[in-house]
This record gives sequence, structure tokens and C-alpha cells, in this order.
Amino acid sequence: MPSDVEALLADPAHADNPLLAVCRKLHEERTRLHRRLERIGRISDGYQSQLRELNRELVAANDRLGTALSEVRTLRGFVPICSRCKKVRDDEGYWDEVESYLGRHSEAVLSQGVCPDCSRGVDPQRRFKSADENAEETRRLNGVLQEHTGNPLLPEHVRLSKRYARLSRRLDKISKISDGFQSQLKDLNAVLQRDSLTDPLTGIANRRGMVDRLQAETNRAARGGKTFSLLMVDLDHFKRINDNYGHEAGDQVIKEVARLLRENLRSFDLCARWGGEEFLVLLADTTSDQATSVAEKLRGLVESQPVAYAGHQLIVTLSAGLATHDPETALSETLREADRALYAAKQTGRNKLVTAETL
Amino acid sequence: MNVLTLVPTASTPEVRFDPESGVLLLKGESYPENSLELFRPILSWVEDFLKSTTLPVKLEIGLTYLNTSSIKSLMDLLDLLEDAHRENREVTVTWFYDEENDRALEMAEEFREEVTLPFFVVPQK
Repeated sequence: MPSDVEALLADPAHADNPLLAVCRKLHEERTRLHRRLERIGRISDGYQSQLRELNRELVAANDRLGTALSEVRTLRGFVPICSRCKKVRDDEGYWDEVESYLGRHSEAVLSQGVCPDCSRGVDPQRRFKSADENAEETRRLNGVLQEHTGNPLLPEHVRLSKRYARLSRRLDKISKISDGFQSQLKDLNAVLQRDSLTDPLTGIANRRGMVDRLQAETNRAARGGKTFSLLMVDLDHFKRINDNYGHEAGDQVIKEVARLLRENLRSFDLCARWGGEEFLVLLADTTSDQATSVAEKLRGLVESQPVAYAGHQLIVTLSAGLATHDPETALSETLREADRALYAAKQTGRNKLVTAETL
Repeated sequence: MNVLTLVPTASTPEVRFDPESGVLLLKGESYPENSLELFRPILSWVEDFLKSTTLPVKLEIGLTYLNTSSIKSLMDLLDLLEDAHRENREVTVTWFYDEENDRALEMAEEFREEVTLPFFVVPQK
């Protein structure tokens, strides 16, 4: 605050001036508004930095997916999945590439644009109110001007009134601009959140998306809800497709199988890409018998529908292991059982379904 | 007076203001496109409530995210309560925050410093 205003207002020469009180009030209000503006800025910055932090975490969480996607493009189908743990590699180099990719393309992610109404400014209600307020303020000021002609504090009063009004408008404007930035961050985070749960090649859930859902289903079953079955699916001799027809053919097969599986499940089931050529299917509210018939149907479907690729009809089969979750045991145990059943299916001839109960 | 109830949406909080108990609850996130539209009825409800009763006011806030104009509107609400408090109305504000989030605590403290009425900042799991 300029101290000359305070000095002027404290001058004993103006002690009996009828404008003194109102000038003081304006000055105090303006000081208060200034403080409030600073505080709103601090709080808002706090929320925004939390958003940015979440944003960074999501970007980092997505890097393995983004890497897989960009590697698929640049290295003709090579997906950097560790052969042992089946996780997508996240070495430093991949990370950097994803980061710069997201940096380059952030505009595309955010390009919501601004509608004509918004670019013109405020909403009609608000504009109307503010015009009203301005008119009232002008009338008030004109009244003061007439009433106090020649008053030595009059110029100061007019100046303070204008400054107060300007600061008040600025506060509104800053809120509006800042909200715009915050919504952009919110939108971007929503996009990243969705991407982080989706497999970029097939568009179905990825491992993380499935784990989230499994957690919810496990909790539901533990609370006495209906239990679910898990079908672990692996394409047979997938390496041969890659070797004979190239990685693009392999990708095409994975996409087609993902589509077949997804389209033949109920809306509350979930199919996820669990690894390279491995899928995990969650069959909600399903007993072992019901799950067995669904699994058989899926296996038959895939076998009967060759994948078209560059003039070839690629016949694909799958092996599957089925386990029904027992609410008394851990989810990891059910996953292990489905894995064991899948292994048994592979060992005993492929293109078949094995249920964990029969092991 | 009627209970003021607003169902939460993706960008607006749950609002439940009960004139019988004097408990005013705001819970969730607030980042509507037009926060005036959200807060104008809330503010006028509180003005009516302060005028038409003498009950103690208990504002309970569990807001995890506010955009800038919502911050400003919430301060306007606190101003109303602060004025009532100066006129000897019994007013308390309780702000619940996620105990694992230090920043959320800082945000709450900023709001607390804006007023002189009893303002409690309470960690929550």
C-alpha cells in the first residue's frame, strides 16, 4: 500500500473532513482485498501444484504403456516386455522418449478449444450484474462529486474508488483465468487416468485396469457378494506367427482375439491384455460350471475365426486355465491357480481349457 | 426453512444445509464452470438462515479440491459467518482434511487465517 495515502488520511488538517471516513473505509477495504487476492493465489497455487503432481505421477505411470506403443511403431512390432516378469521395460531411454512424446503432443490431448461464448467473455447473467454495479458506482461517485465540490480529499476519494473497483474486477478476472488452467489440468489428468488403465494396442483394459477391477470384485466377494471366475488365456504358438508373417501380423492377431473376446462377454465381465499374447478374462458372478461353458465358447470362437492378414487367413488357437475365486483365499492364490491350469492346458496338447479344480 | 440439498456431481460438492440442526455440510470437490451459479443459492440460503433463526451455526467442510473461483466464493461464505460471529452468533467451522496430505493441511490453514471465528482443522483417514 502506498504510504502517502495513509499519510494524507492521517493529516490533522483533514480531521473534520466529511469524506475522511469513507476514504479510510475504501482504503481499508482495498488493503483487505489485496490480502485476499494474495491468499486466494496461494491456495489456488497449492491445489494446482497438487494437480500437477498427480499429473506427473500419471505420466510416469503411463510411460511403460507409451513406450510399448512407440516401440511398436518405431521397431516394427517389438514390444519391450521382459520375458521373465512380463512387465514392459521402463529403462531410462524409453522414459525420455515417452516424456518428449507427451511434451510434443500435449496440445493434441488438450485441444478442447474455446467456444465462441467463452471467448467473448463472461456469462450474460454475470455481465448484466457487473454493468448494473458499474452504473450504481458511477451514480454514487457523481453524487459525491456534486456534494463535495472543492473538498481537498475529493481527488483522493475518486482515486481510491476507482482503484478499489479495478482490484475487485481483477480478482474476478484472475479467478476466471485460473479456473481455465485448472480445468485443463483436470481434463488432462482424466485422459491420463483413462489411458493408464488401457492397453494401447487393443484398446481393452491393461494389467493395471484389471488389477483395479479385481480388487473391487475380491472385496465384494469377501463382503458376501457373488464370487467370480478368472480365465487365463494364452495364444498357442504365437511366436510362429511373428516369425512367419512378421510382427505386424502378430499385432493384428492380438487385436482380433482381443476384439473377439471382448465382444462375446457380458457388459459386466472384463477382458484385459495381461502380457504379450496373454489375456485375463474376469467372469463376474459366475460359478465354475457357468465359467467353463463361457470359456469353451470363447475357445471355439477363436479357433473358428481365422484372422485375415495380407491375403493370409491365420488360424489361431488358444489355451486357457480357469479358476473360480474362493472368498476365503487371497486373490493372488486364484491367479496362481488359473496360471497353473493354463500351464496344464499347454502341457497336454494346447487349444484346450483346463479348470483348476481338475488338477 | 427448507433443508438445502445439492447432489454431488463430478465437479460440484455435496451440499446439505439443515436449518433444524444448524449443520451446514460441504463435501467433495468444487470446480464448476460457473461457480457463481453454484454458490449464489448457497450464500442466499445462509443469509436467510442467519436472519430467520438464532441457532448456532456449524459449518463442516470436507472439500478436497477447489478451483480459484470456488475458493473466492467459499471466502464469501466465511465472510457472512464472520459477520454473524461478530454480532455474537455462535459459529464454528470444522475443516476435514486427508491426514496423509500435508498440502491439504496448508490449504485449510490458509482459510483459517482469513477469519477470526472458531475454526477447527481436523485430520481424517
